[in-house]
Amino acid sequence: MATAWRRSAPKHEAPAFEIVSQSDEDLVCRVAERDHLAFEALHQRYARPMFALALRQLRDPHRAEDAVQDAFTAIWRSASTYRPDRGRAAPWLFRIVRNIVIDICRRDRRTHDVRELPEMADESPAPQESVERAWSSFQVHAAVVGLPERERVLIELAYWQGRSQSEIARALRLPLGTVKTRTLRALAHLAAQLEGTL
Amino acid sequence: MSRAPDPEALIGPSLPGSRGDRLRRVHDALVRAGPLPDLPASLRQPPQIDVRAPRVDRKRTSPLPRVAAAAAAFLLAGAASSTYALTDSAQTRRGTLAMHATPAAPDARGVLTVGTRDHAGNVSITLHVRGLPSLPAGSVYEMYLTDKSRVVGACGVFRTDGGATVVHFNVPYELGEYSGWVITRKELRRSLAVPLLTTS
Repeated sequence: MATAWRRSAPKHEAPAFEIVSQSDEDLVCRVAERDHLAFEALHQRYARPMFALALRQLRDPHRAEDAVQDAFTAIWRSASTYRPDRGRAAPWLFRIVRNIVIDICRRDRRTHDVRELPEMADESPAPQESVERAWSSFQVHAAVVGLPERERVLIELAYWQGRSQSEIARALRLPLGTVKTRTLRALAHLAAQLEGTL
Repeated sequence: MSRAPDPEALIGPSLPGSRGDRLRRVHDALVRAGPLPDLPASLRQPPQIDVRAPRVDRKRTSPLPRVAAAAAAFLLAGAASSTYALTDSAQTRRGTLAMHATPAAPDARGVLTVGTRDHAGNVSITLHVRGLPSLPAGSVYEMYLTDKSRVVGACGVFRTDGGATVVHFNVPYELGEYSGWVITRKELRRSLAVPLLTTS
């Protein structure tokens, strides 16, 4: 009887909510109506891409964390201002987190030693290039998060943990052929999701 | 960043031109995008906002009538090792709790939002639930308040249409340190209910 009350998996492995069939636009509109499940689903889709964006720009996990928290608070508060007829939700979400990151950077610059600023500026890409790269990465990351779990894991291991196909097959105890097939399928899914943006 | 995989090893040279090109563009985009970091623990759940914290105290409430309590306590007896805790976690301060499915309803999901107490002493509770199937005539879903895995009060009964459903309850109970909630399916002509969703 006791096992009947356990969750099927620990909280960090199994997100509490999954609304996979709703578009981003639908979710934001539902958030505007104070739908907590939609908010949860939006968080599931975009928290990691937002965190990646904030971390890249701020280079500090704590501040990046704050930025994502602030972004979702802002999404909750301003979802009613989103107009689906004026464009997709992803750029709207991107702008929210990016503006928050910019605000954090501005606040930080005020407190930094002025002598550090030129060196920081030299290392950064041009502003427009930076925005485009950030937007491109954001879209790619969001697409990866949207993959089925068994495909997403393969992409993450191959691309961002530097594992070879053989190493992945050993780590996941899968036949090498399965790993190759699934990776190819994952790339095809990403190509479909990113159609028109690459 | 780690070494990027070899696109030829992943995609292979045998794919026809346009499809191969598309996949190679995805490959390049993945390399350019860089790592997708894992979320820190604080970001694994969305911020809980817009809800004021429920008052928390240790005062116990009157128990359910003996028969109902006994039936529900029987259901919960096996869960002694689980905690139905608002306790000192952030959940208490936020006033919103995720409900988790039991094996009896693995697709069910729910969120409880506990509001503030009104002047008459009632607390509003809103349940957003999804994945509970619509029930045949004669059956209902019931929600109970629990305390240390024992049922201390009925919150109400409801039905769903199988999709997303929002249910509003108003209950007079004091919320204790170990307060939790459980949703069961109750067949009106049977004495036992089936637990489906629980906070934990």
